[in-house]
Amino acid sequence: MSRCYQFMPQLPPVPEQFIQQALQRAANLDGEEQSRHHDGSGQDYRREVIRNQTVEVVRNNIRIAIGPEIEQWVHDHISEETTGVGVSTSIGNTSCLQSPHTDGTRSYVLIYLIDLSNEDQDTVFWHEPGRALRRKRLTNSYDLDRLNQIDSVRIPLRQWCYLDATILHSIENIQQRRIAIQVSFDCDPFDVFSRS
Amino acid sequence: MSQYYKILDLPPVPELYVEQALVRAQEFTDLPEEQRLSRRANPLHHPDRPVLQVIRNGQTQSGRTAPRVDFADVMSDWVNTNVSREWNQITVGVNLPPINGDGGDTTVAHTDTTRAYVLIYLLSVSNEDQATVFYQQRGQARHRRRNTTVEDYSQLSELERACYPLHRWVMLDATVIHGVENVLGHRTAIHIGFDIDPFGVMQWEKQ
Repeated sequence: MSRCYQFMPQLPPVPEQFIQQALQRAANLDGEEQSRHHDGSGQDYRREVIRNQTVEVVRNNIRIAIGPEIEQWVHDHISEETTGVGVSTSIGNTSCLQSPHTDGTRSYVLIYLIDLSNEDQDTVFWHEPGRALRRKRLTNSYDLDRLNQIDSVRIPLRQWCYLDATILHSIENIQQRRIAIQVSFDCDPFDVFSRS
Repeated sequence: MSQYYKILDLPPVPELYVEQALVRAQEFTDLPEEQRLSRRANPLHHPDRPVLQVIRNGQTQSGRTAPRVDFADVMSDWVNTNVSREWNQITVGVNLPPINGDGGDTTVAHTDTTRAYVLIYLLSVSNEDQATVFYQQRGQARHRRRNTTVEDYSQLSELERACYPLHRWVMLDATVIHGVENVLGHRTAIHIGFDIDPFGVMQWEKQ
């Protein structure tokens, strides 16, 4: 089975000052947006999916830059190959689901959760039958009934988890809050996902 | 088996597209430098330093350029049907002498600016012993961020070199530092760029 994620206990914890800075940025949505939700086609990102043959509204995930200090810390202690360090916050009070997608701006990401409303939030990986496992950026899948679940992970607070963001993935059961520091990569500097 | 490239059994490009690609390459090559710059599908690595240097064995030579021009308008339907729908660019690439007139035969060691993986289909080469050489910079990861260049080859360890055949699809890991060497004249290819490895073929052996 293809590896979808890996915990990275060898990486250092994020210093408290950066966690507080990130929480503040997320609370105020204050900073340059790093996430991308549109594919350039001019069509709005759909906020509804089909699951169990019913239409379901989905959440959105906004990611914004934190600042040059944490970027320097990441360069010094994690990797020099990053393309961005941001904080993400999940938005959408009427839904608990961030629908299956591939990321718009990166291929791999280190996630470090810093605030959760509930700890039983799952990252679920999917394969669309008949298609490649790894998909181009900004792929969205609106019909969950057509997907096969291939893996899932419940990421604890304040642990680095490294994800292959080119495999369709969703976040399930976000009751309210999900805030994370995210370190983005176009390449796999840790040789985790490209290892046989 | 190489960890850095794979020759894939994908359908050959129909002659109609080969001919159109060669025409587009020639039209692009014939443009003045400023117009080539504005039409490039791959931006310069360092816009403030358009001529990078190859510093090797105590000698310095100017690096060649490898601009690419869009070809998706011609080939996207065929690629979607016969190769993959997961591409981010379809282009025709040429390899040109340094714009300062120096006679270099090497493109400076780099990672690509627009893609992590690329399928290359060589259409025409001046000499068949043009080598794609993969390197690792000492003290650094093998997989590097986009737009990385290393001019001083004393920092590099050679991993592997290969000469690719004409009219075969070759998948390269473009996040590993690489350069093309011994280009004595021309080199024209169709490139299909990917942010991902849609075929799952580029895998590292466990260390």
